Amino acid sequence: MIGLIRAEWLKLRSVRSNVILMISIAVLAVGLGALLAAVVPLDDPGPNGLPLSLDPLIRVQLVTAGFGLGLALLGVLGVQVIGQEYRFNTIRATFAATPRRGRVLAAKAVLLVVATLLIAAILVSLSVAIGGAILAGRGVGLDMSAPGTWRLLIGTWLLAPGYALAGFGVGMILRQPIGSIVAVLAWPMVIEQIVVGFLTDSVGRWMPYHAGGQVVEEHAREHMFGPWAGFAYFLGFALVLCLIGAVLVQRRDA
Amino acid sequence: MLEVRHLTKRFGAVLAVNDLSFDVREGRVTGFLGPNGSGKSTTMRIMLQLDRPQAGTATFSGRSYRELKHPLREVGALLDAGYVHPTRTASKHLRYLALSNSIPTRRVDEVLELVGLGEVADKRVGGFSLGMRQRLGLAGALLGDPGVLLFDEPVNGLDPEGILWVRTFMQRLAAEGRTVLVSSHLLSEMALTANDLVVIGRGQLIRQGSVDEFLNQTASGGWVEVRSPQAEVLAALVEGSGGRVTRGQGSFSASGVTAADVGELAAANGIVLHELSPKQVSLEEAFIEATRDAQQYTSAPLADGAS
Repeated sequence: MIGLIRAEWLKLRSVRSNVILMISIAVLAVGLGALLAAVVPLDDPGPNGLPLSLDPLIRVQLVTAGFGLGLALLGVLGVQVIGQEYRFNTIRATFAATPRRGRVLAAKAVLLVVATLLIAAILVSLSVAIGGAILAGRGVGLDMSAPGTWRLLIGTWLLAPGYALAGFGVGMILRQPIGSIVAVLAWPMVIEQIVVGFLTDSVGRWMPYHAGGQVVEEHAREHMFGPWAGFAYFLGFALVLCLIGAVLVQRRDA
Repeated sequence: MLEVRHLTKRFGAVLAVNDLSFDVREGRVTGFLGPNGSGKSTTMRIMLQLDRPQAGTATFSGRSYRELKHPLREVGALLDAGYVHPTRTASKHLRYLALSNSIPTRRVDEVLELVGLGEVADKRVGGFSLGMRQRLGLAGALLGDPGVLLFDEPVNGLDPEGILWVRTFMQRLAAEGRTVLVSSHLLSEMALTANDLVVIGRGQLIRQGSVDEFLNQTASGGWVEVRSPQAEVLAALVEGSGGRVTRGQGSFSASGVTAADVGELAAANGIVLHELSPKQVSLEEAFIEATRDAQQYTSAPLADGAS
């Protein structure tokens, strides 16, 4: 199994588009927070009616703002590890080398979880360090002891493998990367937005990406799951997608 | 020893492989022959359990492919040179395969040298010609030094020098005691490479045996074309001497007798001959005859039966 995971790691980093994707995620996640920390007016009223200088959790959200798109792109990475194999037919070389397909899929999943936890840990730390330093330079640094700060940071970190696994599941189900990428980007950013906007008090809370997102909200939203319940629901959703995908991959011709 | 038993594979309404059984022996090159679309590639994909058959098994010394712990060390396959990612280098393509089967990574450099790709090991595969990709596929098949080798149309895209190299290579692998199965739709190529033949058409076995047997069994090896103003009389005489005759206009073709037999019969009975020519069945003709009923895509015959 170690050999299989190492093989998957080599596959991931030996494809140019994956390297470009990972660099983009890093630049976006850290850069956007740093940019906002530098330019957002600190004394105008924020979303909660308070100026940013008096609202510590909004400041945390500010420096981690790049993760909105960053996490979505980790979902794309999840699609890539399987979608690319189908697109270029390397899935046949892979399954010929390891005919027990479940082992290959497990190795990919383990790699995704470990890699995204590692990447997100580094990027969240960098965002806090860089964005925090910029804010501190403007006179209002991050307050790491404010209640909820660590939930937001750990929540952001733990959402990373969730997004990647959801993308992996969609990639296994649909097999072709373009459609899968459109799905993992359009579903949370367009479809869920509409559903949650119009059906807030009925099916809104069951929208998985929104449910997962509750863990990085500064306070609990009406009609929505609580932060960790929502996160657990989202993770369950990602795992169910992976399970469906794994069953389909096992049954279908490669 | 590779054993295929009662394989059946359906793609929707299309029966691609139909109750197919055959053996591939050790120490010999076995040609897997059939017209385009006859189910060769599907059969080979099923052997590697890439495609799921509706029925039947393919086993390597009694074990299914799934049961092989490190399959690349026991079975090497070149199914399609296109199974590579264009932005990955040749060396990394082989390295991940090696890692997945606990093959020491120094083998990667060895097989790349062996197939003549040592100098482009760190080049992206996207820039490779079809011939180079075939060589890379071959390197992948040899990576685990396996005892069984499966090649699907390996000379596709190779230049004459490359074809000769592959042909010699396969014979050497067989001489080392390995089991070698090579598919092709070109009988002439197989006649030069293979010892045994498995001939299929429309997913069904047509013949299995040595190349020589195949020639002898099909159309009984040869016949004699005879043209004479007294063709009818001579044909009866040939039949009387034990030959089989197919009559035409002022001519006939005879099998089971030699041209000399027919000539002597004619001379003894004062019959004028306009033509007396012995015909040998070529491998291509034998192949076309054997698979005629099984051709998936037949072309309309030319004006005067260009058989």
